[in-house]
Amino acid sequence: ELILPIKADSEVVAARVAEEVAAFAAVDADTVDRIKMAIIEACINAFEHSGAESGKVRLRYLLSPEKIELFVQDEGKGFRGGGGGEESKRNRGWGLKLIRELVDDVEISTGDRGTTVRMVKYLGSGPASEGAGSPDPE
Amino acid sequence: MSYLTVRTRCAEDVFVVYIDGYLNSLMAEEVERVVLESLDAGGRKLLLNFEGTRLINSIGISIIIDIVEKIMERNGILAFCALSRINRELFQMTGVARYVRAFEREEEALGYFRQSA
Repeated sequence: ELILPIKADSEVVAARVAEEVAAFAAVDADTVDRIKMAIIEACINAFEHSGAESGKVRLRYLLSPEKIELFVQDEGKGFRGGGGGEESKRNRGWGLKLIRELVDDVEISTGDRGTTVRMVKYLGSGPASEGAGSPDPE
Repeated sequence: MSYLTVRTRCAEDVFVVYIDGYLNSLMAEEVERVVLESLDAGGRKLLLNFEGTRLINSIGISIIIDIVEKIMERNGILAFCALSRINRELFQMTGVARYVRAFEREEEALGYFRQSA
């Protein structure tokens, strides 16, 4: 578990930790890169959309033989879809779209107590590994 | 913590921009600034070299899309080179790859510019 301050470029720390976790699981380099990019985008979303008074984002990395699960949790006002501020306008809403391309499963749960983005990357012969990176069926 | 490094050089009539480190909003805005400066000075051939690019985020990509649009508006020619596999995929996912030729090496890209003189 990692608690990040909402601060410019702290998402890079999250990506480095993800890299270490993936390396521990002997994940191939392409998958590591995808996981890093996905967690960067999830952190940026959390930083921007959360409006969290705590000024922190909580990350969890869960490793099992079949998959890596990544949780990015803020304590903000809840996810507002395509809305957002200046950064949102600049990134043209690509953040969530890229996350959906980069990992196998994405779940977003949001409410008054914040938002959690759960991302799953299956390893080896996991359920979605053959379709890794394919767009969300929605 | 700063990752901002934008090196540039002129290779004949091609303006080459080296994107080293983390292509976030700060870095991309700096790239945009030097590219627009080159266009304003009459440059029309631009090459973005991604060999040193370790990470890219969606804001960086969006600013690159802005750069592509501005170069196209001014009838310029843009190419990318030395993209890692993930960076190439990111440009494919966002549709940028449809508008910009990408080359493995800088020399190949410069050869393409020579042919399109």
